[in-house]
Amino acid sequence: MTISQKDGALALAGGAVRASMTRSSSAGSRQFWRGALPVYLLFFVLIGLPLGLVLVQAIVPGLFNPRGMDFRLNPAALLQALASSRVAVSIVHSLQLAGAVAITATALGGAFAFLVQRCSLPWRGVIVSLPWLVFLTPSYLKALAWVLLMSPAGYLAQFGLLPPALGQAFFGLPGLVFVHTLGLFPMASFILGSALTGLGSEFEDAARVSGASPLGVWLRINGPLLAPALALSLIVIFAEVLSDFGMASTIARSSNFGVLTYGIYAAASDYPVDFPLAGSQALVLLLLVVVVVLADRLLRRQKDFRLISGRSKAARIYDLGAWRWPVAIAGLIVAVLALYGPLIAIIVRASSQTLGHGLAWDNLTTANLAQALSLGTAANAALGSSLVYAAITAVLACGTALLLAIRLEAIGGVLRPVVLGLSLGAVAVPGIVLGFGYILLWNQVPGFRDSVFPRYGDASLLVTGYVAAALPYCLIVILSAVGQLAPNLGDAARLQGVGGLGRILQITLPLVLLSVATAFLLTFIRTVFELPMSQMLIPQSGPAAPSMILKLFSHDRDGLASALALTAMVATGTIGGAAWLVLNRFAAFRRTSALPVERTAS
Amino acid sequence: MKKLSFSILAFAAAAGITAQVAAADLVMYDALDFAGHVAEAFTAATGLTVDVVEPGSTGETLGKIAAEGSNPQFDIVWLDGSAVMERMALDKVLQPVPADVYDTIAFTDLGKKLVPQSHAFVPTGASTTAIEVNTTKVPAEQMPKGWGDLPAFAGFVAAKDPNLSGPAYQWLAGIFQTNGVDAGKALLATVLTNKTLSGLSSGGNVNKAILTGDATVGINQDSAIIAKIASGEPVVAVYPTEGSVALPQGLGISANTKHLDAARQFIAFVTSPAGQAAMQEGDDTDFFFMPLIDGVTGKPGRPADVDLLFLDDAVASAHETEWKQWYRDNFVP
Amino acid sequence: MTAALFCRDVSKSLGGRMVLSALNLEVNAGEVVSLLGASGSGKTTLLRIVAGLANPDSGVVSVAGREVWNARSVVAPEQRRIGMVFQDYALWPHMTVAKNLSFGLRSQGLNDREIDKRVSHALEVARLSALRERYPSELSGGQQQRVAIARCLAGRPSLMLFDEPLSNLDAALREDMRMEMMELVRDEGTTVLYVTHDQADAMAVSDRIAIMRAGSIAQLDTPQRIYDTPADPFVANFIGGFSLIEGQAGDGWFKPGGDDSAPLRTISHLSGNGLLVVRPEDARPRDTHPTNVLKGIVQARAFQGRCWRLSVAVGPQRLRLDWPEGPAIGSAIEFSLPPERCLILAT
Repeated sequence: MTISQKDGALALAGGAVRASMTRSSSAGSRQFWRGALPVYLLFFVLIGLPLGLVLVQAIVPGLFNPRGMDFRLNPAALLQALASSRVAVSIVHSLQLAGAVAITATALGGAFAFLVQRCSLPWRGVIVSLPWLVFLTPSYLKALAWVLLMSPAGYLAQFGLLPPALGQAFFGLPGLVFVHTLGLFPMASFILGSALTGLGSEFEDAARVSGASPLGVWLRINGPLLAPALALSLIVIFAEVLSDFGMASTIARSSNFGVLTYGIYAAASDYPVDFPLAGSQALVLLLLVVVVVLADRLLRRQKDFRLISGRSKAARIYDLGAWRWPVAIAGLIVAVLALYGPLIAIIVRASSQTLGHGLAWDNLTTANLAQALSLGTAANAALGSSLVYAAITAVLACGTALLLAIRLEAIGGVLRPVVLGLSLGAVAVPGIVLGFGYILLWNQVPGFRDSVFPRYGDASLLVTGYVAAALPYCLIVILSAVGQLAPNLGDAARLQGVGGLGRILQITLPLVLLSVATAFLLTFIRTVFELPMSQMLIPQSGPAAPSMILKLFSHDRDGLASALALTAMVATGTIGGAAWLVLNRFAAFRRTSALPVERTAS
Repeated sequence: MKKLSFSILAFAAAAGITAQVAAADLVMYDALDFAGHVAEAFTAATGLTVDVVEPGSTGETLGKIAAEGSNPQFDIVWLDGSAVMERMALDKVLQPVPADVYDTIAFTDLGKKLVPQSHAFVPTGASTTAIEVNTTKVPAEQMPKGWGDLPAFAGFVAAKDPNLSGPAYQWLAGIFQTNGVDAGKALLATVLTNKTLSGLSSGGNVNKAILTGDATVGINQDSAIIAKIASGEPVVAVYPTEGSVALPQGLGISANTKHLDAARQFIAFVTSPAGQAAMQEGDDTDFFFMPLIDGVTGKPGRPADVDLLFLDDAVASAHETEWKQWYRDNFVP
Repeated sequence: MTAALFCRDVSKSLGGRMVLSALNLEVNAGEVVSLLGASGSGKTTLLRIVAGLANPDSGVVSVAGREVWNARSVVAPEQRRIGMVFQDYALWPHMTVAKNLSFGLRSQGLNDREIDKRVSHALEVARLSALRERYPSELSGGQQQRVAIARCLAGRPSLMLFDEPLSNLDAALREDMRMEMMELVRDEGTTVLYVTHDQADAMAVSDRIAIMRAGSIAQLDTPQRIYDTPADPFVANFIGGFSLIEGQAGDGWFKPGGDDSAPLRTISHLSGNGLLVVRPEDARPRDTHPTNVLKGIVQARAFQGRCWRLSVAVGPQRLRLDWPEGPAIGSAIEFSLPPERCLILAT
């Protein structure tokens, strides 16, 4: 799911909430409701209602009984589900995994952030770009790549690099922690990196002048100042692992390491669907996520170091001396493990006939790639439709988010933190739960059931689901950007007689264009690889690329699956990169000091 | 302005996708390897278009159908397993296949036996469950002959989770039918002592476990074993002496379909020589089915003379939730 | 003649706190009026209400004879023809100087020739013609401020609002800019409502100053009158540098509390407890007014160029005085106060 959007979002949202608290509000309650209504409505229909349907089954087990609905409240099913050892085990598994990964990924991400922000290093480019590239590769692709590498007949075993014991251990908690850590450390790196950027060296200088040792500075000064960021990183990663479906449906599934997200999926993949079981597990999962998000809010309310501002002086860069080589090599090893290794495994598998014959010349083939690239094949159709869906999703999500953000900004006051809270909550809703909710909503609830557009079973509902999944973080990113604009910029235009639309198009949009573009591209890339919605809402016209990739893998056609994954990554990368370049050029208004936030003239 | 017209364009594009979908003559949900290929051949032969929706495993397909509840989106469904088909018919998700449809099909004797009383589905082919043995791990003299020999391999027996696999449930219900429920449960309790092997999600994973040596024997759909033998892997399929229940591929018709004629045409095509040929044009598991149509022979390697038992679908369907739950509680990690 | 701005009984509360309470204000055409007050006194809220960026709870606001806000109807800010110079200037960073000026005019539907004429004129009077293609980030703070004013002027507003326009500038630039800015505004004959918390700014730019206290106007008068005769201790306190001495007043005399020297002669006829206003520059050598002498001990001194600023303890109270020389700290000092400058305020 979303990652740095979330972290950036949480961090930015904090600032936004503060800003709006201090700003005076002119909104009467009438205006409040009028402005808030579309937002609430959208959130209710897109997220609240489907979510509610999933959860309510936990206590009204007969609600969707195929032989007649039964509206009676009956907690028996919930209690039974909670008492079942399987559910208990998957709760324990989920918590174990999330707890372990929160620590390991934060440690690795922190080290990375420190290296990137504070050390002079050789091969800097490789190391700086790594978190971003890793972040943009979906978890299930990394998972599948590791399966190719680590399975008993996989590439590492073929090269004799893999002791059987290690291969065994990989398919279980250690392997999951390993792959999750390599996939999620960028989040920690973004969170801690931005905290480190904000943390200038002046505190450090002051401590040094007062006689503290370098180690003392980190333990006594920088450590406590970074503590909120550390906590945030732990919490965000914990929540992310809890709600992850990509790893759960690949490595965890094939190692029979049951976790809650897959439990929900499994309960929903049966005839008849075990609605109460799915609902109960979703309820547990959501409660855990909520607890974590609340913990985050609580923590940050207590420890909000306003000192960490964007206005600090440039930080000290440490010269590692001779140590820089081993450190850089360690960085490269992480790069290989997290990105290039899996990528190479996918490339090799995409261009070979069988896994078992490995890297032999006669095993090489272009058939897989050709099939993924030729028009008319199912794989190619899946890729094409995913690209189209993603583009539509990105336009809709960003457009809506921009309009909502501007509207909210105009109203200001108490509404902003409420909507931000709502968005943050929505970001944390596991995609698998939301997807299941969509199936229920569009099949069981009159009105939705007969809806022509978006209609169940076609791409319009899948795109709606994608938009619902993307909208909250688009809103967070764009709202934060809009919130950073000095409100006077709009007021000035207003007093000059410029109307609402004119202000949006000519003042707000140009100034937040890069944020909108960022949200757009992240949405685009994320959506091309979005798994749970794609899996739950497969359109009749054919599956989207993620479910196609997964299906091919589970049908032992991992060569074609790898080829499709590879093509999708190259296509998204190319489209995303090109769009970014164009926008960057377009948005570069000769703005030497880009942010119109505050101007201290001299 | 730009943004607005973008959004309008996007909506128009999305609407276009809707229109395109609505145009298909048939929507088919399936979890069979050959279904997509057969649908293409059907379109080529009749000009009727088919949207093939494959959510994944049999379980995933059934889950989708169940979640759709009284709003089924498919016209036809094509799956392994008779018990689930019966259950969907009972839930009024499927409508009885019109009697005259059966009359036009040249079933073999086996085929006739597999036609359900309820007319819940048309059997298009069959397979059964066998014991898969890795010949490099098990010497010929220790080869198991029936379910009763499996305790000797306890801890090294791979099996699919009936909660995820339709064929696996058919097998589980079959064992309870041949051995009796209590004896069947007792037997499985002594055999399936390694949860990491007894809760696998697909036949492919059973194959993988046996080929990598994690398991020495496995309980698998025979067509999955035959497909591996055909690709040269060192495994054999042992048909148990106790007998093994037949696992028909069932083609059912949605209770809500507005395309009954197209559905009839599809059934006619599938049971025709051309359709049967299309069902064999591939190397994956399901292509190695046992034909039920007169004059059609299976793919090379598919034995024609297997003794099959027939599942009491009513019993199997009635205990489905309970037995799946029992399996889950005992053998799935 | 109609007032350029007229506010009657304007009230506004925010979060249960009265920010403006039944405030009345009238500004004549061509007049520059400052709203001077501490933060929280309601001056910015009043300004935003006049602009239409905030709405009062009750009252009436008229601009150039047109009611722009009353309980029944509201004119949107974009319709009010009011210009505003913001504290942070609010220049649109993605537009050049010329574009910043023309953007609003274009939205008002003026034709290209008219726009060009107005922009050129505004740039010329603001001495910005050479910078017209620059972006705001390429300008100095002073230049940015001139752009902000020129942007306002180009719109030919009937009323211009200034929201602490000098507070982002450093001291040296500030005074120059203040003069330059007012020259511009005066030349165009614009009516101005000017918000500031800086007494020197208000004194320098205004025809009249409205001193704000907790949501209402404590005194509205010309700068000189406010300086000479502050209406009450609040106003006197707000005008920086004044010292207030507690004591007993009688008909034409004042006796500072806790000091045993002879009573001072004053022009006030107040009696009872009172406060003596001492402006720093009022201190004279002992012999100038030998009957009106105070004695004290020098507590601190600072050289200010033209004179020394002394902090003097008179009994238990402290005074700020401007003095031609800098006596050593701790030494005794005697000085006199002109009776006609001795203003007594009731406490």
